[in-house]
Amino acid sequence: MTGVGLVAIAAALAIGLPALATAWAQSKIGSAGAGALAEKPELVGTVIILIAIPETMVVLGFVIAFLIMGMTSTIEKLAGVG
Amino acid sequence: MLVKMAKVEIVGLKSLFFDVLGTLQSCGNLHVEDLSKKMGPKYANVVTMEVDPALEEEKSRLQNLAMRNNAILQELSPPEERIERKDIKEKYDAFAGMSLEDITSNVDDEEAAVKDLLNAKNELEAEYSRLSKYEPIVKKIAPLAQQISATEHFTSVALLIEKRYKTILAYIEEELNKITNGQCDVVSADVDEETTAAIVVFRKAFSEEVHNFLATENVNQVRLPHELADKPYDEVLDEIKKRRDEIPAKLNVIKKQLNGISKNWYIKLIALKELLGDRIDTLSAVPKFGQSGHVFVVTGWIPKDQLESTRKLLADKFEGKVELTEEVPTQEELEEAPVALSNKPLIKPFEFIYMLVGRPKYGNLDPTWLVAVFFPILFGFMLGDIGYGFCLIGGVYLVRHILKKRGTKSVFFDLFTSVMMIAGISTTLFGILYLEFFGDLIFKILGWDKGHVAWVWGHTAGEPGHNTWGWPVERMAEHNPEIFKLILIVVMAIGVLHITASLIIGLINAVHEKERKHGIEKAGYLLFIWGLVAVFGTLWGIKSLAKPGEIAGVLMMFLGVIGASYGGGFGGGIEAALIFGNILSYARLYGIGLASVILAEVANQLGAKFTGILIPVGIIVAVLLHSLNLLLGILSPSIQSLRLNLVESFTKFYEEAEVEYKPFKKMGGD
Repeated sequence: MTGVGLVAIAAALAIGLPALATAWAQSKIGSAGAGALAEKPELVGTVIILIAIPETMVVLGFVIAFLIMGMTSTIEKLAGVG
Repeated sequence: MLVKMAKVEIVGLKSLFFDVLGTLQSCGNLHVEDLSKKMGPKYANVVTMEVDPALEEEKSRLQNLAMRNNAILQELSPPEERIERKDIKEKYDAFAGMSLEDITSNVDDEEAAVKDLLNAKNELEAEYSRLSKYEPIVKKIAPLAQQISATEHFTSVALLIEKRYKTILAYIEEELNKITNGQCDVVSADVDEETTAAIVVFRKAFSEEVHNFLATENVNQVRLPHELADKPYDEVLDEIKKRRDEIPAKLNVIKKQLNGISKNWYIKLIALKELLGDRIDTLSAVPKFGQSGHVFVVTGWIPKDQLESTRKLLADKFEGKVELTEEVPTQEELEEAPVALSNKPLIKPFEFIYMLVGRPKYGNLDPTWLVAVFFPILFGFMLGDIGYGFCLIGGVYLVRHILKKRGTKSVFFDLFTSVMMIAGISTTLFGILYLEFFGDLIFKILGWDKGHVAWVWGHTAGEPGHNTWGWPVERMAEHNPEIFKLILIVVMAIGVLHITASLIIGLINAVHEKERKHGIEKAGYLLFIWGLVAVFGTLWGIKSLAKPGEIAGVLMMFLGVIGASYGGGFGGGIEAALIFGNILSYARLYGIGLASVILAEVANQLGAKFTGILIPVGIIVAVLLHSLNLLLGILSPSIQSLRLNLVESFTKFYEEAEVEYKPFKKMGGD
């Protein structure tokens, strides 16, 4: 496999794994939040914020993936030099 | 900013009590403290003001009237014409001059006029809903019933069973054969994808045993209302359809009559609601007052700028028989001081944040300005697009126009639309910085490519190697990973500034409250952050200062952790290290912004795929995708900006107030 291919897989993992983790965390928080809202509807703001908290993982994953993708040009240049 | 409050004590002659109560309610600026909860050595001779049985009786009658009046109001729709405040005030004043008996007879008249109409309306609505529920069930059973020939000695029961459990029918038939000595029959058919309907026919003589058996087995029997129960199912279906068709017309007639009543009475009902509310509030406030001998006493809080005018008003009106004194609050009393906010019009909309968290503690700095500065920056940074900015501003303008036309007043919508208007302006400004108009639509229309961007960049960025920044920032970053990294550093810099501002507020609060340890903790965090800035700034930026910068930075970070540990204990030290994570969290600004740009460009590219006579289809596809992106673009940056404000910033300094300023005032009248 070429270096560019490996970089693409690395970028996919960098965004994919945190996305799964975020989805799992949001599902847990979402269901608990829905339960809390049934009891106390005034908590809606807090629940929205709580649901948004795990998004940190996927957002950072996205940025890292983008940085990794930026490496492809460097690798292509190196491959060209070699 | 937080409104400065004065702690006051009002003392006066008991004979003037109700006059003073009315005056204070009209003034509407005293936050009354419940004196029964304040009794201490200072108030040793003071007892709670008693409410005599006649007043209790009056309060109970007022509450009853308010309940009946509000029930009528709830059932009537507001008239289409705009309701003017002066009209309500006029009615309010008219009611204020009436006795309780007159008001009671007024509410009796209201009830008599609408009671029958409301009952008829509720019955028709209930019947309509009941028939809507029965119609699909009977529809399923009617074709099955046609297979059965009825005789006078036999009766039938309809059952609905989930299709996956239909095998239970064989068991039911077997058991019913045993009960009825073989004088029963079960006919079944699948009526839709999920349901099997069955009709059980059996001799009337076994009716009780059969029903008992079906009840024990928990089978879902179709029970029709008694007036339809004895009719054949096809007749029942016709009857249901006929009645369902008749009801809307009858309901319309009643609604028209009710609208006519609403047109004449709505203002009157609102005025009465306000008057009854005010009178109940007056009587409910009585036990919060204290009394001793011939005087009454009440304590509370008044905005400092209204103190003198209130004192003068009481002195003039009661000729010195009622005295208002300002007291110096103790530290404990200050903890319970009520909080009111007073911000400039541009900052005020951002008070919406206090719908998510409580108001700031009295004596602390009001952080609304911090939200007002950073929320639009964070939002605009993420959405940044001239087209989306215009859409947002236009959408907000339209919503406000519609609400204004309807005369709807909602604090939430007022604040929300104002915030979105400011966010829209910020989105447009960032859009200009990024040169984005619905993604790369301008580039697509003008046929520009990255060569054009580089040309513009070359003319705005100055000499290569001396000035890295140019315009348009984001367009360039798309083709140049180095610029992309620089934007990430800018995002972190925004994070550093936001958290620094939050910590400075925390430090000022700590100094103001003379909490030395808290102050040292906040200073420790600040040192840690700026140590980080010194290290990374000299490593990546001012490389000539790398060595001293690194040494100074590491030293600052070390001192910062020590300070934070001293001030906040073990948790403080850990928190200092976690601040690095807080700053990294701001990377979401670019992550979400980039996702929005890519989606916008996908919309343009997909739209451009349609050529020739399919161009309108391409435009529809692009508009739909842009609408979706705009919707996501409003939702996500709003939530993420709120999150950065509440989680990354507010956790560094924020303390919620225990008491909100709720002055004792009239709802209606003046």
